[in-house]
Amino acid sequence: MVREGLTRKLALRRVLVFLFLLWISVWLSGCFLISANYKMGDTIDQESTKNIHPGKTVKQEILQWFGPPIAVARKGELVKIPRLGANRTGWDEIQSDTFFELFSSKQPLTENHIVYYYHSAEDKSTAGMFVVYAHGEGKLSVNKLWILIDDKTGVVADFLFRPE
Amino acid sequence: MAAQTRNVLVWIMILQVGYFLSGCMPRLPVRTGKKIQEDQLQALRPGETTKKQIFGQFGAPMAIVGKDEIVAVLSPTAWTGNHLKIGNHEEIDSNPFIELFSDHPLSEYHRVYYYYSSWSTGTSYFLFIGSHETSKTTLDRLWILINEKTGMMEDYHFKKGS
Repeated sequence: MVREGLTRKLALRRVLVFLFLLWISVWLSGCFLISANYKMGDTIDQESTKNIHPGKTVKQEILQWFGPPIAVARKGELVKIPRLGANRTGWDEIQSDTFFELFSSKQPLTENHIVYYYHSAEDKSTAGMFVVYAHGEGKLSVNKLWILIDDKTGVVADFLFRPE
Repeated sequence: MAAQTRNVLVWIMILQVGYFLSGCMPRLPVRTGKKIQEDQLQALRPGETTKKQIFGQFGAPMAIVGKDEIVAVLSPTAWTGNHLKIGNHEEIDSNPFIELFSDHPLSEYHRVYYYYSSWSTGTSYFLFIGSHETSKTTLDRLWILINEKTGMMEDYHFKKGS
């Protein structure tokens, strides 16, 4: 009985020592895991769009809640969209008609319609190395919000939120 | 008894090494721009406050924009994961700022003075062979509409960062 107990303790100790040595060898071989996330500015999410009611909400309320849009799109114009991400600078020029296209199937669009475009982003990255294998990946999650406004009346006609 | 003591010692050693290799490293927060105080905003009186008083309260703006302009604005210095990204001048389109005052009759003399104050924080966590880094930058922004002809402040918008 006593011998059995001692054997079990000895086996357990061997397992622990083995695990410890394994961990030390993994650590000394340069293995690592890194994850990072980066967030800048206000987040635009489903919750923040719940107060937008097409036909009721007005432009001034939108500006008050979200601040100035990233871009104001008017038909036939080019809009400048700043590049997103921790280490990206500059902007891309986009034909504003692509924004209007989002709403074209729902209602007739006039020259009075404008689109306010907002976005928010979060950068997430992970990297790992295990002995001779290394892997890394980064993901930029972008939430986008387009708000169609009748600029003549100042009333929100429709909106579209696309989370990522 | 001796075996039990050894086991305890092994566990203490493992925990000690683990404790030594783990940790949390908060990074020094970084601010860009002067902090915008609540009482400064309350002192703003459209039609009464002058441009001179604005400069006295908030200092030089990050940008002064008119309609259809492209202006260079200093971006905030911010922690981005594991390193500090120093702010640099980036071009922005002025029209979204002008849009804030679209209900206001605007003339060729109107300019928007743009101020911001950013606060960037970051923390690293270490545990054995792994680490996790997190950073967040909040931005308080203020836009003030000035009539350059009269030198008066006519309106303003403030957006607190979340």
